[in-house]
Amino acid sequence: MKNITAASDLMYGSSYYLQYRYAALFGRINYLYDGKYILNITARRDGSSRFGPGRQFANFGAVGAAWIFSKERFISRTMPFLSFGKLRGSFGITGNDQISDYQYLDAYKPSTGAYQNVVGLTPARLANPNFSWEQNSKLEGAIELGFVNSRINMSVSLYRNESSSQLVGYPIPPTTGFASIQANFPATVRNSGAEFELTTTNIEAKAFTWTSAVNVSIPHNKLVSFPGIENTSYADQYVVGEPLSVRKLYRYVGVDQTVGLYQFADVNDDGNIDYLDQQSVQFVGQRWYGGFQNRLSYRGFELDFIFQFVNQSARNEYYVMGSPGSMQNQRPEVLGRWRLEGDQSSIQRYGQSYETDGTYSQLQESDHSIGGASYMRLKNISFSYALPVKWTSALRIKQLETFVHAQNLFTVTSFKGLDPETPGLLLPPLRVVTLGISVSF
Amino acid sequence: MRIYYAQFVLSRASVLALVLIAWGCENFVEVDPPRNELVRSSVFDSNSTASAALTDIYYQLNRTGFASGSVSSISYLTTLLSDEQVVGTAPLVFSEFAANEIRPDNSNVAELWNGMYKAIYQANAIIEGVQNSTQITEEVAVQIVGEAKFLRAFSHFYLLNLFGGVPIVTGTDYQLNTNISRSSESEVYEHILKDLLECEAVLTDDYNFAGGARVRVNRNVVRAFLSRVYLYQGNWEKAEQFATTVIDNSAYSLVALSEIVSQNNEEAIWQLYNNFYPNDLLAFYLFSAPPRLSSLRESFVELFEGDDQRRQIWIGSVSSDAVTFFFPMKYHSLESAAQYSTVFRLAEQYLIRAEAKAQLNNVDGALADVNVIRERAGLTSIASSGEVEIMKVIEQERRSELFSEWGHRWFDLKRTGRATAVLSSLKPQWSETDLLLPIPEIQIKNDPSMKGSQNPGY
Repeated sequence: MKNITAASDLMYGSSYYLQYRYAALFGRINYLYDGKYILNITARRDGSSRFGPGRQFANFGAVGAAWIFSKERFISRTMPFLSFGKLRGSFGITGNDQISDYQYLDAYKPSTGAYQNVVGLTPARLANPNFSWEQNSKLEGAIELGFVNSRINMSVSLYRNESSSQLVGYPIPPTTGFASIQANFPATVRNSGAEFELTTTNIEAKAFTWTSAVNVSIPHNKLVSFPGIENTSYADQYVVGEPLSVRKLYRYVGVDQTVGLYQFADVNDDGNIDYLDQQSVQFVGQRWYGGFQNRLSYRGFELDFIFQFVNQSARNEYYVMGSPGSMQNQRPEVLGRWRLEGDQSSIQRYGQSYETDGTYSQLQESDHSIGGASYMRLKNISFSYALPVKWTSALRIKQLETFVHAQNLFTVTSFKGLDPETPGLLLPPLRVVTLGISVSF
Repeated sequence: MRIYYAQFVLSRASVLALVLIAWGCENFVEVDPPRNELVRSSVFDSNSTASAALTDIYYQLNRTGFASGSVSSISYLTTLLSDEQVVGTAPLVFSEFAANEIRPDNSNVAELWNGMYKAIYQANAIIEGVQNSTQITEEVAVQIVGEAKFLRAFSHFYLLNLFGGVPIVTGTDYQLNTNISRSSESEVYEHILKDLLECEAVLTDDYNFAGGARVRVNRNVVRAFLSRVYLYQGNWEKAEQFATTVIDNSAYSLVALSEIVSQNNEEAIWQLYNNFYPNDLLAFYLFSAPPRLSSLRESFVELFEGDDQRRQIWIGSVSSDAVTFFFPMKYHSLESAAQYSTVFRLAEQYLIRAEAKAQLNNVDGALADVNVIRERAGLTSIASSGEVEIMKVIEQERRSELFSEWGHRWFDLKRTGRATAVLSSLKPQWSETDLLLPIPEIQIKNDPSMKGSQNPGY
């Protein structure tokens, strides 16, 4: 068939085409002096075809320096117990262009089907020619120390990363004909914190060794600035000066004694409880976390265990329990629900109506659904015994080992939901105990 | 020493070369438009591509959403809002419509709103593109701009009647449309009429540009729509005038009851092309009982007069366990392209004219038009002597003729003020504020100018 219009039925299959070009020029200077002083400088200029005309290029760079002060003569004389000491710091700016291509291009593409056997042309996107590179700056400083011949090693590091001009699909109202547009977010987000690590070789004897390690991280996230947030829908989710993981929720005032339903504060006094009343700012997320590990070995025995601890807030049991009266398993506490006028309870009355469904949904979006979810968990423990070589060689085997491993053996927490490590209605990490023998010939 | 000199020159030369390459790279990262896309200015540089951009709007109308006839369309959702259909155990997004207790985050509401504004965007893109083009021929330019203006007015009309005063969007600049506020109902009507009168002046009377198929908008479609808009506005003279021009046109005449949605039938004024079957079939036809979503309300079915043929031909039934369920059967054929989703048909024009005449105190004239419809349905004519409650007669006739089509019943109840009288006994949680749907939450959240302009009661 030489002419496509001679076909009785036209079907259109999609076609894709993409061309992405990237050009960069960079240079680096490394300087090491006397085995003690280190300096690194890098600079680069990047261009990407994902940005519109005039916006393809940007400059980035980094500086880092370190000082191994334990090698200084005055240190090794005054502090002989210090086997290693390093002070380092760095600062850099990087960029990001990981978005779809052609977002600046105002164009049409063939439609998904035909009308009267003519395949139409449909707008490919809502174009924005004005966006450019996303910028991330990272600042870090740390000190690493080793004592007593590296029997004790510790490091403390502080970091501050700031991200600005993030490339996002910015939500826009449907009156534009689309749901979002590629744009640089005007917000600056900071991730900062401290990390601490200590490893020690406690005992190192002929038959018995014991090493341990502790690490703690204290992350902190903050929306530093977002000019114009009150004119966007982000004002409902984020608060400038607070972490991104906050939630703006209804303020819970209790179960009404007369009606037996959950009640919330009508903050703007308009007679309605709606998203405008979600003004209670609650933090959801980890405040600090860490681990503590030990390893002991005596002759053929080996004991290895690690504790994990997290201090956090998360969605609590009220969030997942479902509306009492609906077809969902409930906690025994619902037996103490509100029943008669005058009852005081923390659980509303049973119900299957729009009304009780509605107030329960509101409870899920209230500050009553957030609570402490801190825990300490014995994450891993492993105890094994390997037969001494004397005996194994007598038996003509290379190695025989018996072991028992356990994961998530026990948890210490006051969290009443399913599992503090996976708040919500998810299958939590399982407790697994394994016994076994391993033989190699 | 020579080694160091060579190294010196080589290192400096390579740095210089890199710098020169880098400067040349400026053009390297500029890419051409992809081969599967056509830049906007090119689209409006030729007749065929500009026309293709227009026909896509029709394609999208039929594919999904407010005009498609599917369960997310106006045709279907309004049958739940009114007294036409009842739901069984349906998902909340539908049962909220049936109970007239709709939440602003209801996804069907959002889909209606989004679909209409998407059509408006595409229409505005056509109008702007043609304006800025120098290569399209005059004839094609006038034609596609006329159709685009109609489609823009059409979408605004349904937004207005479902939601109340809505933002009027007349351009594609997203920065303006992100910060746009609601207009008053009269402002929206004014804008709709302006668009319609402009395209009525320039479009042709025939369907030749569409190959004779009644699947695109011509002058008569505009006139049929104008008569409806004037009727809704209460402009009885104009409603009668435009209905008459369509009725008097020999291209349109009433057909047998079983043919009203057949492909390209003579009663059809505007249909949507498909090459399988219309979405309305899947939305309304019950293949088995109990119904997946909804069925006709029994009391609605019982209100048909005894020998009304429409009760036999347009209503089907299906039973299980001694329970019978009724459903609209106007769309019944699975044969490829036998039936098209019909947007405007002649019968409505008779009923519009009847109502306009009645409001202008021409009861005899009104009855004459009503009787044309009644005769086709196999009913006896109503005599013009004696006491006739003409408005009741017209309401009954419109119910029997136009049910399950494009929200006629719901919009009639609204505009005649009869909604509360009819629905408050059927819908336990009915209140006056239910006459308007809630503005979708996603619009209010993302549009700073619309903060606090939600409809009352939501």
